[in-house]
Order: sequence, then C-alpha cells, then structure tokens
Amino acid sequence: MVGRTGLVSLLRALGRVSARHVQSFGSIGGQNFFLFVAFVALQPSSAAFFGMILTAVLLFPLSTDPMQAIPEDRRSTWPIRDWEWAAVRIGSLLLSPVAWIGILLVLRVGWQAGAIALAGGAAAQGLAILAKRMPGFSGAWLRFVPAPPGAIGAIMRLQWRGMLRTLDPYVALVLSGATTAYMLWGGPLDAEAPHIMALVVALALSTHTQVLLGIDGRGAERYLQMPIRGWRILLAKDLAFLAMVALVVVPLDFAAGVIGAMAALALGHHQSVMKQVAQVPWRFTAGALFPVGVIQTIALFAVGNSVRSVGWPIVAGCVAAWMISLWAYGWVWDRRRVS
Amino acid sequence: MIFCRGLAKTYGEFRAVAGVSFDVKGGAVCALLGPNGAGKSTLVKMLTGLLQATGGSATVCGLTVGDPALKRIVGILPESLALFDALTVGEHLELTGAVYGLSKVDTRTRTAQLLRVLRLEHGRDTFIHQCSYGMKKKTSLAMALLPNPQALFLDEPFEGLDPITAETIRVQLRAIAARGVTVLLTSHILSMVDRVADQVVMIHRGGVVLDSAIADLPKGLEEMYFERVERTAAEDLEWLGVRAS
Repeated sequence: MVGRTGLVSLLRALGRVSARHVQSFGSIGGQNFFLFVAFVALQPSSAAFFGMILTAVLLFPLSTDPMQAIPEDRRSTWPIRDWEWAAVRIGSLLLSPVAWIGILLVLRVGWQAGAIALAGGAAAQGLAILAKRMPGFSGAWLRFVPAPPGAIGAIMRLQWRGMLRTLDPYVALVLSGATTAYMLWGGPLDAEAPHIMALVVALALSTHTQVLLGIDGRGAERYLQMPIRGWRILLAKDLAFLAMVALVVVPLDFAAGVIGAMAALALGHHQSVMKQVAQVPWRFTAGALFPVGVIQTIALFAVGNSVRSVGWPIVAGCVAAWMISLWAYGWVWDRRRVS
Repeated sequence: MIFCRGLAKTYGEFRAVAGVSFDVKGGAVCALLGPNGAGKSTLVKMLTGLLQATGGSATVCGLTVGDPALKRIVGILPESLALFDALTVGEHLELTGAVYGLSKVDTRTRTAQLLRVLRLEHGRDTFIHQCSYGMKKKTSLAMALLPNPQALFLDEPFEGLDPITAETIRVQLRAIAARGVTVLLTSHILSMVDRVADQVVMIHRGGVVLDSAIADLPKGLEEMYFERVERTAAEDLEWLGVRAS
C-alpha cells in the first residue's frame, strides 16, 4: 500500500511522461511540410484538408496509454494494491493526449467531433495493444521491404525501412491517395491541381533529405568503419528516397515531383552529412526549418514548377547540381570521424 | 601487428589519452585494461581511424591509421555497437557481406556458421530494436568477424554475454589468433582476460601504467590491476540493513 501521497506521485510521474511524449511530436516544427501548412493556414479554409490529414496520421502515436510507461516488471513488484492500481488507471486516462484533444474538441467544435477523436484514439490504442500481444507482429511487415542487389541495394533497403518508421511517408501517401481518388471519382478538378499536389507530396517527404544519415541512429557510425565511399552511401540513400517519391507522385505529376525532390536532395546533403540528428521512430522527421528547410521548400516548388515551362534545361541543371552535391558531400563524409 | 607511438587525444584542456605507446605482435591477443573513463575506448577509436588523434602515430598491419585501405582488413566491435534499428540480425550480416564484397554464397555460409557458434540462430529474423543487449553485442561481433579480418578491435567483447557464449568467443579468439590474426580488446572481466590474452596494457588517466606479457606478470592479473590501476572503494554504506525501530 502506498497511500495517497504515493498515488499522487505516481500519477504526477505519468503526467510527466505524457507531457514528454507530446513534446516529442515537437519534431513537426522542423518539418518542411509543416512550413507549407503554416503558410496555407493564413487562409484557414484551405488548411482544413491538410490539418485533417495531419490529425489522422498523428492519432495512432498520440493515443498511447500513459500506463504503458510503467515497465511490466515494476507493476508486479511494487507494493501497490489492486484498488490503488485501479485509481491510477482511472487517473491515467485523463493524462492521455487524445483525451485532451477530445475534451478540447467537445468544448470548441461539438460533442460529435470530440466523440470521434476519443473513439479513434481508443480504436488506435486497442490495435496497438493487440499488435503488442502478437509476438513478432510489431514492425514485422517491414521485413517485406525488398533489397535491390549489392551493397547499394542493401543500404537502399535500410533507408526505406528507416523512412517507413517515420510518419512522413504516410502523410505523403494519404495526400497522394486522396488526390488520386478525387481525380478518379470526385468532381471537376483544376487542371493545375495534380501538378501542385505532386509538389506538396514531394515536400511532405523532403525533410528526409536532411537526415539521410541521422535516420540510422547509432548505425550511422558503422558507415565510417565500412570500406565504402561516402558518395556511394549517399547515392544509395538518394536513390531510395527518389524511388519513394516517384511511387507517390506517379499518379499526379511524375517529372515535377521527382525533379523537385532532386533539388531538395542537392540542398539536403549538407545538413545530412554535417549535422546528424538521430530520429525518433514513429514521429515526424526532425530537420532544420531555418534556413535549410525554407530554402528547400522554395527550391522544390521553383524547380518543380519550372519543369514544364522550361523543360530539359531545368532537368539537366537540377541533375547536375545533385551530382555535384553528391560527390562533394561524399568526399566530406570520407574525411569524417566520430566525435 | 599494431605499433602505437605517443598516441594522444585531447579535448580542450582535458587529455583523454596522453601519449600512449605499445606494440602488439601479429597473432597475439592484447587486452587493454583500465577503469571507466581511462581512455581505452578512445584509444581503440583512434587505432581504427574512427577518431582523429591529436598527437603521435600508429600503424595496423603495416598501414597508417586513417588509411582508407585499413577499413578492408580490420574488424571492429565498437563501444556503441553501431547497429541499425531497422534491420534484423541476419540482415546486418547480409549488409556486411555486400559492403565487403563477399559473394552471396560465402556470406550465407559464414553467416550460418557465425550465428550457430554465437548461439544467435533463433534471433536471425529479429529486428535489432527488439533484441536483448547480448544479442546486439553478438550481432556486432559477427559483423566484425564475417569479412575475415587481419586485425580485430573489440571494445568489451565479453561484457553482457552469457558464460557459454563468452567462453565460445574466448576459444574462437584464441583460434583465430593462432592463425595470425592480431586481436586488441578491452575488458573489465579480469578472469576472462587472464585466459584469453597474451599481453596486457593497463591504462590509467590516459597513460600506460603497465605493458607486459601475461606470462611475465610477477603477480596474478587481478592483484596487479588493483595495485597499478585502482583500489576497491572501502566506504561502508552504514544505513543498509539497518531497520528503523
């Protein structure tokens, strides 16, 4: 028995864990896509669509049960009675970020919106618990990500896996899927819309170009020990990134999306090689918004928009810039040591 | 073989490694001993070219440290283990085989043997982030061994492993050393060092305090360590075991 003071201390600790969990989503502030949404939000009606997509993607990771922060072994060894655990359980429900969102929606929008958020959070949490209880299920689907042949192929698979463990590709996928569905079955669409959306989709993935090595966490140190040149490591990662971009922009505007993404890569190598920021799984990729993110966003839209009007010269220029950046930062990586 | 002359590393005013010199013969197992923070890992990082020395020089198998060709002939078990969360145990070895230019058949055969010897077969398809510390260490060790290196640098290879695997690794290290591979390892498990190493280099506060063949030690290894490197803490935690009346 721990008494009221013990229970309050435990709930306070869980509250701290919950608050830190929410803070970990602060990586969204370093997102190129967030910059775009913030810009679009100047006209609130236009931002609703992007806001809904972000909320839907965030629902899974935000609906984590705070009680999961207590290790199983602690739960069974701490001198806390069943009724005290029940009190902690009830208290912890109010500490869940989804509960806060639900309450906020009830107060500001209406009870239906709040109920949808809470039901969605509960469903997401139920699925998460189910997945945890199925041995080997968690992340097992990532095993099906194929590896092209050779060393470059093995690193490409690693890059795809790393990217798929962040939220960015899912936002890109939902944006691309929703636009494609609207093009096929929706009402009349502005002729420029697929082109613009291809750039927005590429932008949603573009923060990855700033964390090409950071995404491997401690594993990035392994590249320093391997007999493989820096430009080949970056090439593998770039090809993996471009392949993923190509996959999501193909129904929209392939050329604009891929060439725009290539411009983001040419500018992102510097940040990737010079400042390796480790990424947290199942969060948005955390890059640097100023100045790299802003420059990348402008370049991606400028280059992507020019592909149709200027044609081959812009494509050739962008490919040349990418190749120079690849070679230069590969050379820098070859001279790099651990700190 | 490893030649190390006046190797130093300073961070501002702090001297992590203060002009260390020692040699390790080809086919010998040398153990670097010292307390936490003595500079062992820093030394290993410098010898493998991962960290730039601020003074001195070193060669490994005839190549100057920092020569890119060195990466092809040394195997490293780093302090951080340097593993990828998004790969399974087996995929780490596949990646290593591909990067070191091994054929698929060789990679597959060696992988199967390494996983068997290290008792890691059951974890082949487990993602690294789901592995225990021991499994991670074995994976990193298997990556060091897979390309058949001429020199091995192992940072705490026995720590965190079960006794059977630790003993297996000891036997393997003795076997590969007998075939001419030079091994430099760090460890805190003196009983294991006593049985695996030919030579010990004791480090304290960044400097060498003893460099000797194990066979030439005037006293037992443990005794020498406590004498030259550090003494045990003698403070009594008098509140432990006392019940409030």
